[in-house]
Amino acid sequence: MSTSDKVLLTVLAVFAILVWLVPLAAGIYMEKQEQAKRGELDNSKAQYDERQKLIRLEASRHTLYVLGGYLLVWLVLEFVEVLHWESRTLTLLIGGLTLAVVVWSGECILRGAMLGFNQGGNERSQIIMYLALGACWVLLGGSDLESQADGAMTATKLFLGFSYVILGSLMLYARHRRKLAESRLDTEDGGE
Amino acid sequence: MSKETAAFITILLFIFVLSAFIWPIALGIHLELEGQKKRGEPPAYDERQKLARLRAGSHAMYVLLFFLVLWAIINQLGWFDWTKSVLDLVLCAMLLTWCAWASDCILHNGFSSWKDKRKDADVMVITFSLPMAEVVRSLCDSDITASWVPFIFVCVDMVIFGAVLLYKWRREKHAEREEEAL
Repeated sequence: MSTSDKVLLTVLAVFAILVWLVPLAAGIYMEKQEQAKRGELDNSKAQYDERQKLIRLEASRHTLYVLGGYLLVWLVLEFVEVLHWESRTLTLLIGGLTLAVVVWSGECILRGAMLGFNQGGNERSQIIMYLALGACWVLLGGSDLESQADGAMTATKLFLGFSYVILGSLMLYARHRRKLAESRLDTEDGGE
Repeated sequence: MSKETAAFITILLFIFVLSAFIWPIALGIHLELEGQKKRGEPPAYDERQKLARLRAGSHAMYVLLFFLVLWAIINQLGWFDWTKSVLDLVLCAMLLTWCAWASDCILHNGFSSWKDKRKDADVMVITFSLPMAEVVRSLCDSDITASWVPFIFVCVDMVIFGAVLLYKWRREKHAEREEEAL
């Protein structure tokens, strides 16, 4: 297949995707505008109160600092020539993205800003996000990136695995804490 | 002594030396902030500015993540050899993040403290960028980096800062004129 054929096919593929996506996006946008005009709350989407919005912004700032620190640590490791992996740049990038997800989500989960106030403690969206991340990581681990294996990919997989376990533990801990608080509230209400 | 041991000792020494510089500064800032609180002095940035800085941090984080994803894709496609260089990646990432954060802060009046009464206080961003540009240029010139891409980034940063400052200056002038007309 010649280069011009490839370009033509790519353009057609993009066009085909857009034909599906544009009406869908326009429909969603128009529905949201209508809801806003009617003054309805959009319950299909998580709504966050002021406190939660602030926590999410703070979590973003902390994630930025952690990512900055992470990049500097990699730079030091590079200069002292500890790592001799051929594909270390990819490891750095995947590690950075994972770290960002874990730090941001972890802080939001622990400080009660992951779920919107209109979700009433319904963790469905959070669990879907967690499973989707897990699926991405499993796919990444089993992909042909393995062909670049010289220790870098093993390190990446280990890093991803640890991050996944940490995020899962945080979710379970936050759930346990919330249930405990709810049962305490119920007891107090019963006592009164 | 094996190479790994030597590297480990070097890292420890590096961290130790770095800490020796950082901890007195951090302690000084902490003590000064505590002192300000005790004296009942208002903080350097007001609530609106703090929020603008937080938002700028959030935007800078998204920019950094997008940049990392883009770099990963280009690296995997293997178009350019310099995408394998960690130093180039870190320098470009830091410069881009700094540019995104500072520009957002300037546009939303969160860069210079409200206590700073100078009209052109935001121009300090260019002053900060000049030594940065010189360091990056010397790194590129001495072939420590794999390419001149970090230097292009720092130049683009300065152009963006210039444009943002001019835009803000024009916006303020326009607002002043409107106020006078009223």
